[in-house]
Amino acid sequence: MNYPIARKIPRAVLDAEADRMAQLADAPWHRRLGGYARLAGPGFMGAALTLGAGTLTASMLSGATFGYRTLWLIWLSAGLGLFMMAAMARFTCRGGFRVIPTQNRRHSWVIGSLMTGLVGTAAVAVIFNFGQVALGTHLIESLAPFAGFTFPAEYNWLLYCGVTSALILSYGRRGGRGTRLVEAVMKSGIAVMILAFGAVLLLVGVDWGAAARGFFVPWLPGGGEGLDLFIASSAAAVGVMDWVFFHYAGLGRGWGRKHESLARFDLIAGLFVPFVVINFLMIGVFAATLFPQGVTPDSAPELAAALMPLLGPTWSQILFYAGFLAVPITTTVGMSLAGAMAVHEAFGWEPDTSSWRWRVSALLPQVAFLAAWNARPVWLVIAIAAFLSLANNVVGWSMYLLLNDRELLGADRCRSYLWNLGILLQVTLLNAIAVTYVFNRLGWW
Amino acid sequence: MSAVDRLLARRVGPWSGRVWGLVLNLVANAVALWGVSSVMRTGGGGGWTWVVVGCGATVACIAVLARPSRSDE
Repeated sequence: MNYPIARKIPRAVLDAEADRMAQLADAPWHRRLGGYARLAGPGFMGAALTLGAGTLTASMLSGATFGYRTLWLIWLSAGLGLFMMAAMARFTCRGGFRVIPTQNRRHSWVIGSLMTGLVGTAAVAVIFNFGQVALGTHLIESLAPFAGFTFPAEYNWLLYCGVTSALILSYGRRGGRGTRLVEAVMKSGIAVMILAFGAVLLLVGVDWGAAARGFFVPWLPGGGEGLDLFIASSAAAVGVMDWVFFHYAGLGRGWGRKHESLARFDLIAGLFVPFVVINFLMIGVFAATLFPQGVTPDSAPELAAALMPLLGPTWSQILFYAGFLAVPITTTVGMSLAGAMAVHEAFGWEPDTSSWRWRVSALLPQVAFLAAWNARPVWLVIAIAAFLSLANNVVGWSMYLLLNDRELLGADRCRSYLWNLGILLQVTLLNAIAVTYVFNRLGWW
Repeated sequence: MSAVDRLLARRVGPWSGRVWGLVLNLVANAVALWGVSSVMRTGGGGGWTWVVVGCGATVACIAVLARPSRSDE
């Protein structure tokens, strides 16, 4: 066990989990699934991280603009992402190494510490948290009048940042119980989103025929807009931060060789299914309400506000806002932890969750409290977006090469044509993002 | 070890065949997208040739690179 956060888990707890895994390996499938569901965690945390303000705003916009017709992109994007996530599970469970230092050693620090750690994960955590705080404080402000008082964003950011900071600082504390607490909150957040958006969708009604067609029959708008939508949606659902976070969250749980089947279960039940279901529900709500009216506001608060009169009863509006509030909260927590892990790996620091260094790195994204006043470091957003567009594919190359590295993984390297094919398809889409970004800057796209 | 395995494992200059394959794939992707952008700008013509060449090279690169290294030599 070479990851310090896992060393804080008492040996007896790890042994009991290993025994449970051994029992589950021979258990009937239904008992195995139940046992895995209780032991899973990093996949759910990954879903909670991925399902942030950006992803759900894109789904809301997609539902309002194209109706149900782009539903198929959800399972395609999440499904493509699973191949790379399975590679991360392999590195965690069988490789037993820490991926960023390994990239530094095998492919240079530019790809490991800089592109994967500092830019692809830590900087993204800070920048993207502005969107989460802006949305979270707006939702708290919108919910307060239902309780009979006002609570503007300029003040409620204290509540938002306080709750999320408490959760962030719980991770890795109290002999592993803090980690399980954070995982439980992330799982509950996903459950709240599914229940809230599901109830709202039932209320507004679903055109099941159109939804089924949209889910199974590929459709894209014509011209460059369609190609842009396909490339961005299919490649960006699961990115570098998700890869890094799942890997290190697994290491933080003390996962080893016996855990690979659990890790794969976690990827499907914890990451893929919630991602598809929640995006489906969100697209469905907006396809059933704003799409027929031709109303397409361009930000999450405006989209939510436009939806409210169409939801009818007060309770359904509260339900929607409450479910939506779980989105930025869980993403802020997940991104902050991913950022702290990445900063420590990039600089070669040993992660100690009780140290000031960990606390400062983990709370760094909370600088986004400035978003409560609509502040946004635009120049930084542009710089990071540019770097990410150009660097994500190279990080993908690095992961593919590690998975096929005979010296590194020996007999545990990739032996499957299909697995490599899935990873290469995602890498090719990431290449396409980089190329279209350059073409765009040159005025060719 | 098959010829493709040898090609992917062989070091040429600073990188192995697999890395060169990834670079070639990126170039092929760029060629295909250049073709698409030409088609969008001019409405067809020579752009389709770039699309066909780029997509063909992309498929070839992916097909070769997806081959895992099965040999333990």
